[in-house]
Amino acid sequence: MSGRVLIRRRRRRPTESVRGPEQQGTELDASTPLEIEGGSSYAASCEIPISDHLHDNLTMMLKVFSDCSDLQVRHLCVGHKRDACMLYLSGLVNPADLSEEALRPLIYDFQASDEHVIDWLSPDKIRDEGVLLARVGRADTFRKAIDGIVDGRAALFVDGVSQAVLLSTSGPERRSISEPETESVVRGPREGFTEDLSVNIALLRHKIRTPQLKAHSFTLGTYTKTAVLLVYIEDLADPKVIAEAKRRISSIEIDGVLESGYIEELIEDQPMSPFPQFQYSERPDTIAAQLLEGRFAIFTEGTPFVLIAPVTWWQFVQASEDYYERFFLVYLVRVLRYISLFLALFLPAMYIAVTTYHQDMLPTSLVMSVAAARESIPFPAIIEALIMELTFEALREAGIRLPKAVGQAVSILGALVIGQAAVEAGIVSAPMVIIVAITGIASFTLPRYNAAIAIRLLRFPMMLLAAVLGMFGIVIGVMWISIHLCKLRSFGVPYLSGLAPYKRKEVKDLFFRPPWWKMVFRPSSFAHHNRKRMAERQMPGPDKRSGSRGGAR
Amino acid sequence: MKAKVAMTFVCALFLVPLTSGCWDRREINDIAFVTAAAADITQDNHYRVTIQVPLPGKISDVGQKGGGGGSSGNKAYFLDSTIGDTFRAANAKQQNAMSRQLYFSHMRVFVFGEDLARENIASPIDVMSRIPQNRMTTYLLVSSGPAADLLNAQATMEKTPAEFLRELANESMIHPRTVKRVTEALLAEGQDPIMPVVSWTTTKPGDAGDAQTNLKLNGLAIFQKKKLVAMLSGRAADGVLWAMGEFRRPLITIPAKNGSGFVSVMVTSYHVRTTVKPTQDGRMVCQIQARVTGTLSENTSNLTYERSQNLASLERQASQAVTDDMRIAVDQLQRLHADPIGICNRVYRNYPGYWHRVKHNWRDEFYPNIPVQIDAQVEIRNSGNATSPVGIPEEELQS
Repeated sequence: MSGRVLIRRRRRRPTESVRGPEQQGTELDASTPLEIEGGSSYAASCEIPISDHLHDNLTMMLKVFSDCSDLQVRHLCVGHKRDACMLYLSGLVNPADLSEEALRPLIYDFQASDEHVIDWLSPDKIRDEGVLLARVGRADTFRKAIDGIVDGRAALFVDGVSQAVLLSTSGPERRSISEPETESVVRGPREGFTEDLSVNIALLRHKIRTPQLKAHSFTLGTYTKTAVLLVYIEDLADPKVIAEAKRRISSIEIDGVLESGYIEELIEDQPMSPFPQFQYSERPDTIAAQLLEGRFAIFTEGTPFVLIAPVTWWQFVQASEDYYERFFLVYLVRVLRYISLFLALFLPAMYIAVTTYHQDMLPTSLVMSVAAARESIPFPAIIEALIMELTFEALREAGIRLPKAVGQAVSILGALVIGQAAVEAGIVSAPMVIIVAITGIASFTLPRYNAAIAIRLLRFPMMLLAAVLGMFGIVIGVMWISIHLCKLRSFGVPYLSGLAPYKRKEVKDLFFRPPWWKMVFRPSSFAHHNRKRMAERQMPGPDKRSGSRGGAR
Repeated sequence: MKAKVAMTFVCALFLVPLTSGCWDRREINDIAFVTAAAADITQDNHYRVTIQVPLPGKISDVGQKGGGGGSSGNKAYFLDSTIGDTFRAANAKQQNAMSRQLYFSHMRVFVFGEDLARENIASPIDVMSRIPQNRMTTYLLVSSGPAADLLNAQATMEKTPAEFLRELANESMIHPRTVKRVTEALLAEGQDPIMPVVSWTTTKPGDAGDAQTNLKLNGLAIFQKKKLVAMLSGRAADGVLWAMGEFRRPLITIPAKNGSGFVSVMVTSYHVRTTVKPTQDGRMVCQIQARVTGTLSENTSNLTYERSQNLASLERQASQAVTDDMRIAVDQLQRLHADPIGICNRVYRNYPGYWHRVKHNWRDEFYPNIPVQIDAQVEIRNSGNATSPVGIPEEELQS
């Protein structure tokens, strides 16, 4: 019965989407008090040209902005002659700029040089002679004027002019550039992106100073009108990938985009995969490095988190600092991360499998201590593990959300309750506490939070498989994960690219980082042409001709 | 359609835990880990199987804190002995009287009673190789007297006698005799197995303390294939270990010249080569060469061994002692018609044609009559940190 209904609904959907954002808007806006001919004033205003009567224009604007108490209306007289009106939203413009750079010249200095010319007050004239602001635009329809005002500009309507002048000021204060909290480094730049798109792109431009750094602009969200930039380096990124990215982004129809996560979920290749297909970062240096490898980035207004694609799994095991520290250390750290990755995913499952199926896999003395610890535990290993893992996850979740002052209480509670009380009460065995602790620490060593989440999620099915089928279950799980990873693509790039498909030259940067003078080529998965990033044979060393001291006398 | 398939799959997944029943699942606290087993034979040819199960609650301090429960009693282990037609039958009987499932993966030591060993060791070994829970790395020992007694010794040094026996077995030879090695020897042509012998002792520290029962290595059990023929001890046992190159940390103690005391040479490394070769007249000759390197570890005589003739003569004496040990051993083995060294196996490997001519009655005719040349060379690299006896004044020393 429900099948028929489902099918019918599905058929109806395309016709709904055809109607487009404006009409959807009318439906949603039905409750707004002021309506023009059955629709909202905003939707109706859309293509109406601005008239040359200031009064009419003002009436129209006030209708559209009815009940918007933050709309400021400033009447003025341009060049002591002509009535004009400036409209802006109070928080979005800098009033000092406006009064100094626009109002003062318009009121006092603007002279009608030649009154016989009919068009003496054209927008061009105002722009060229009237105001001192750098960015001045114009609007010939109400729609453009309104969009300009919501975007943080001031609209100047002048009587007798059928256009509005849009004046951009420096805008309100936003959060200043600070050290990114989610990706702190010991060595490396300390600046992070902010919520302001123009600041963010500027931060990137500071790193990559070339006009080949392209920033293709999109506006997403019927209501939020969020500015989104697709950023790439023209010579490096694969044009096909860029075209596909443009296609995917421009096909998004949504009422609002508040964070890059909206975009991520709407354009990823395999939405049902637990593995992230975008990397995000709030570090300009990370984004710059990725762009230099031929990837693209998606900047979203209002969030410091910038998306990167196409990605491979290996990126999630790498931190930006890997490329700043000397390579010996990185070698160790990467090996450590892979071990941690393995532990975070399999350790609880292995413990369950070994203690409930394969007791022969442990050395006798170890099996004795485990058996002794489990002697008085009332639950089977899987239940015990689930209790501990869930408690740990709950603690972690609580720790993230709580205010910092309370957060400390959570950790004390966690340490006491789980670490000690549960063991002493004989509810959970001590080895299990150790296992969960190791697992937790291991999952924290992964430098990318979204990858760590995937591992964290997969741990539970692995534990269940281990509880049901022992080691066989784990092997089944490993096979399932490997097959899935091999199948996964991010914008056409295989997720395990480098290892599968195997690329001899790239494998070295997966498991350990070669020194910089060895990484002559960009990864071929992203940059298909123009792959050489540096001159070959740059291994440094003292000049042999000048003697063993290498020039130092 | 796709959703339907997915839903079916998910439903099937949910059924997995219910239907499969986790058939092999057994929690670690539902298992009785057998760490040592002993086999004896009764008068009416039944097996008496004794197993030792350590009690996890007793053996480890972990988990003592909370909840209580677990195993109770005085000893850290549980001992059970049953009689059955076969091993498995005896085990099945034991299982009936156990709240936990017997589990043999962690059986580290298996002890043959002397009587059983004299009868047949092949059938117990069959069990071990047949059941996958048993491991080929289980150490095999022979007890002098009933094997069950060994598992009941106090052996206070370790928490259970099983652990004590395992350490003893591990120390007995360079390559301790495991199921794998013994099986190999049983199946090889011209080769007999060998196992260390363990016996009961009582230690009594002086007159005051209580006597404690303990276990000790006490020589070697010599087999003719699956039957025990003799137990060697003392110099003969040492000689067998020398000749096999299996002597673990040997110490050569010899009387010093002039009968004034004894000198001990600690062997740091040695190498034994056993070769066979045919002579002109169609006989087979065996040669055992030992190259021993050692240091002087104790000197109770008044001789000094620094830069003097004494060192050379000591080397000669030590070489003679090792040669004598091996000579005694080889003579004994030839008299016993048992070949744990594998002299005949070397004939089989190097001269298969020759072996096929003699193999029909090799144990009784060929083997006892092989002339064995024994040659040991002891080299003393380092005359010890104190070359001359420390407690004797210099003028009384003889160089």
